[in-house]
Amino acid sequence: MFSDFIELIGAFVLVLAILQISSDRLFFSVKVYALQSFFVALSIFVIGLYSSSNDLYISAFLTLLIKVIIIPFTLFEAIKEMKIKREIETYINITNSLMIISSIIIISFILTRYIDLGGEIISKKIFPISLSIIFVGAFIMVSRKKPITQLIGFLTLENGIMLAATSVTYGMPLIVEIGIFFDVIVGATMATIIIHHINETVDDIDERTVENFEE
Amino acid sequence: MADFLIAILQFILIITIAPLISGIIHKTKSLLRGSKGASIFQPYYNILKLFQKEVVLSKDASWISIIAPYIVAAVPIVLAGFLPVFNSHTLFSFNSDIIALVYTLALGTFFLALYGFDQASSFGGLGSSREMMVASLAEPALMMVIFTFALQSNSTNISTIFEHMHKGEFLQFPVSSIFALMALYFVIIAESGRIPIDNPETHLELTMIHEAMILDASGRSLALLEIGSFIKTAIFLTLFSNIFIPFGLYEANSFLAIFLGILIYIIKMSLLAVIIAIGEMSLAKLRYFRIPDAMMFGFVLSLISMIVYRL
Repeated sequence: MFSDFIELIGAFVLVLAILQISSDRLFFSVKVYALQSFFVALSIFVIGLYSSSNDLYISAFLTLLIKVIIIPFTLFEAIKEMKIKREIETYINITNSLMIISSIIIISFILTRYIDLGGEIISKKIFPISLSIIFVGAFIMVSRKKPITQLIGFLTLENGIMLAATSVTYGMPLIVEIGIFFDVIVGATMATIIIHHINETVDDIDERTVENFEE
Repeated sequence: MADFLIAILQFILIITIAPLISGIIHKTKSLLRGSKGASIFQPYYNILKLFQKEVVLSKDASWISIIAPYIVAAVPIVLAGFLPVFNSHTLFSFNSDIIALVYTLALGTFFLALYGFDQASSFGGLGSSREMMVASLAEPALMMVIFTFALQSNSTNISTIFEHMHKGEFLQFPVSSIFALMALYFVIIAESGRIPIDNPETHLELTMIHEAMILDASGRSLALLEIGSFIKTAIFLTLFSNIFIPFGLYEANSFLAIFLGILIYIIKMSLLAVIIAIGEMSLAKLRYFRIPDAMMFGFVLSLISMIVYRL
């Protein structure tokens, strides 16, 4: 019953990752990311209740604070300030992306059948789910044109890693998790600052303009 | 004999409740907008009034325009006899195959599209081509969802699938069920022409799909077409509610069980109608060329639902 519940939350995180692929608006993407992080925080909290470890409560609280409130807020501010076009541009159109994503998810489910996870596992299905979220995040990073959407892809990938880490192994040591949180928050802040500077100097934050800089 | 009476009762229940769903959706939307809104029984009055009016046909119309409304209404009415509502005995339970149900519904859609073309109005043709596109995009997702449940219960018989779901199999595969639920919701929205795909309340030329096809219809024809679309929605919602809200399918034949079954069914349908209304209020209609993306999202969900179940 408990493992079913965790699986259910994992499924919601995966659905939101797929929704992230099919979104074509920046604000909507950020909202989807916030909701997804909320589900990750919920899963960490439930696992904390189950294994009664205080570290996981702190981890869930930090996820809620950083990923549901601070990072989406920063991204919203960045999008508003830069006055960029709110439509997401992609290299591959959304319909084809969804087809590719579905095959990626099937492959990750097939691959994980052959991996023998030793030790006490909460649920067998949660591992392929988090692996597919990681792949979906990586796919968002390579298929989108603007740095800010690539950043959202990176954050999705990080959510997948977080889900895998807590639900497969009952969480990492707290100090490691705090380190990861700092990495993410520093990464997100730096990325928004860099995007801001690119925007100021070249009036366009398309990745392809940056490629022509070397002359 | 008792089984036969129960089957008749279920058949009549689906047909009589169908316009009520539309009424509840409309009333909820009006209340959410802050207006008073028409009574939830308004669709019944509309149909009664339309039956008393005469049919006006375009001079270019052929025999298709005369028979199409009858077929569009008859197909869902026959299929209502396939569906168990609160008891697994149905009128056609010997062959109530779920794949047959889906593809017989497509016959109704086909004749509706022909009706749109037949009266030689440009709007009708526009609506027909759009409707066929939406229907063809919704079909793979619907079939995938159905295959998932057919695999789970080892049968394509609707009664067997529903009995299987009512034994608490819903929680057996939660991940698979969640994906299937969302995919089926997408399909229902597309097939019944509700807001993110089609807006049933306007007659705006550029966006309408279902309304464009029945623009030329009048009197009895219009009433029959409306009945057809109401019952189609009711069939899909019955399918949805019996798979995902598995309460109220009783084996007992006592009067109390039947009464409770009917009551639970009406509550479930009203709940779904309110959910659809809230969904409609909070979403804007999708641009026409975004519909493939949305339907592909539904298809991917249904595909994953099946994969997760099998792997």
